[in-house]
Amino acid sequence: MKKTFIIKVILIFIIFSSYICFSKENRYDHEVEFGDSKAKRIIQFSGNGDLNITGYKGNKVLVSSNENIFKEDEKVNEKARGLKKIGGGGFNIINNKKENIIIISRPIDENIDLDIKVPNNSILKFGNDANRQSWGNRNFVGQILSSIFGGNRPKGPPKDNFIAEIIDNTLGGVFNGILEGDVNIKNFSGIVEVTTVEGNITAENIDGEVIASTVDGDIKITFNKLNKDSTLYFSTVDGDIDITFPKGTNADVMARTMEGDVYSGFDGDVIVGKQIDDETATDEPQNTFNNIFQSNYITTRLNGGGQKIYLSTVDGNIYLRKGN
Amino acid sequence: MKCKNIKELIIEYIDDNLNDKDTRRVDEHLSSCEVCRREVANIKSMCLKLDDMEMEEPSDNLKKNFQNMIDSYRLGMNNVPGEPWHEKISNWLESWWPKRPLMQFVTTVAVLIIGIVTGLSINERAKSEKDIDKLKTDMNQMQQVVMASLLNQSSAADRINGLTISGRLKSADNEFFSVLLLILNSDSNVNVRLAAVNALSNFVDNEYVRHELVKSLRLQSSPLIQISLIDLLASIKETESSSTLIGIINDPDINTHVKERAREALKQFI
Repeated sequence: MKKTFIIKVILIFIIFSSYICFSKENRYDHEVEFGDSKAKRIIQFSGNGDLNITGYKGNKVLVSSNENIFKEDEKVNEKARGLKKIGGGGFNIINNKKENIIIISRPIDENIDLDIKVPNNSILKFGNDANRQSWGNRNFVGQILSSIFGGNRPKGPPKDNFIAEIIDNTLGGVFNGILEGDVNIKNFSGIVEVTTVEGNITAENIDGEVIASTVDGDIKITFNKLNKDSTLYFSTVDGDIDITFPKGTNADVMARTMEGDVYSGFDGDVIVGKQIDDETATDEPQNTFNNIFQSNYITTRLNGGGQKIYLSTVDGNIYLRKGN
Repeated sequence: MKCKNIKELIIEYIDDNLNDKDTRRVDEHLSSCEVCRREVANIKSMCLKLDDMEMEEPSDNLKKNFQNMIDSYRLGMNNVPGEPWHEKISNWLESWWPKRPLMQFVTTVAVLIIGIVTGLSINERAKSEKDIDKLKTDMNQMQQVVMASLLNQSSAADRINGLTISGRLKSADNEFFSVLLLILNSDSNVNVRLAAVNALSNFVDNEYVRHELVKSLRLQSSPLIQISLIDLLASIKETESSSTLIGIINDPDINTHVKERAREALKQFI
């Protein structure tokens, strides 16, 4: 009995360690360098699978995976002889040096997990969300903008057409694609924008700002330092929101949940059913939240108030934690 | 009779204008008073001298010249229409000017003080008008800056900041609202659209905004935006949204929480 148990343990150990050795052997790495290390650097992610992101000092994006996704297809496409593959429906890393954007897109029919090291002080954009209006109605949007600005309907490329440029920006720039999977970010300083369809969003040791939304998943963010004066939004439909703010944060946190509760580790003024009026706004109270429809708005004023932070979930709890 | 009284009568005595009584008295005195006798003799001789002086008659030439002068003056007066206007004004003003130096001084000081006070107040008024003008242009500039920050930002964080600022604008026009509504309907980021709902909640007094919010509810796909919009429309009791809310309740694709919220909102309108 004892012997079989020991054998089982040893066997499990061997399998486990061999798995680690095997996976280490099959680790694939890829480097991409930004065109300009001093200009605004943007990295966009999309596709299915988990992403583990770590910030570091440098100008390269280091992408590594357990799968050999970087290797060219073994079967050489005869028709493509003499040509270079620049993108496709599968895994792509596109380095737009002119715009200083690196786009990492993955297929939507299979999960590809990636470990990525990203330079600090860059902008990370995870996924896009397409509204019903967003993509089918570029012409409609163009008409609206033309009527506002009195210009012509956008025809040329964005660079030549002011209105087309606006449409591109308003609709989120280069369409990033839907992102499904967990996003974990560690030790990063910069700006993070996450929009996922499904999956948890976790960010630890963040210095800067995070704007996150998911449909089905939890949001857990730990800030080291917050960019002052920026407005932050965290929203999920089905999941908890758990944010740790530095203890000296001056903020008005507007928390909203339909089904859950709101917990706070701060001794701030709590106002239920009302959004704290902005002094610089109209003299009249912004809204008269005199009915149940705003009663689930819970505002906590941290250290006298300051930047606005909106947290909303439909079905989940909200936790506000006091950090260091 | 004394000498003093006699002196008063001497002139009349010489001219023989005195009555008999006075003449007798003067005669009596003169016979006795050497001084008065000499006085009378002096005056008598002076009077005689004066009578001897020949009276000069004005010549005809002189008369003629004088008459000419008067005529020409009369003619001149008739030809001149009157004083020039500026002289009239200055004369009129001069008539106001006090003649006494003390009064002149007091008036000068008073005018100076009134001048300074008026000048300052006019200056102030001009300044405040300038401030208002500046505020107006600032408002327009602010609106434009906000619009630019909303539209020309590829970063969602920047667009959200732009929306937060736009919520603070005291007034805005429909053009500006349509930009906010465009973002609400078309932005690729849920949180930006959520920020647009919050920004627009400051302008629900505007009918165009209310109408477009109802329209937007039909276009939204995210449950979070749908709930925020339902809450906003319910809190302002926008009954126009009823049919959209009924549509949401009957739509099988829509999240159950949203349906629940729509039902609650509908109850508000009954």
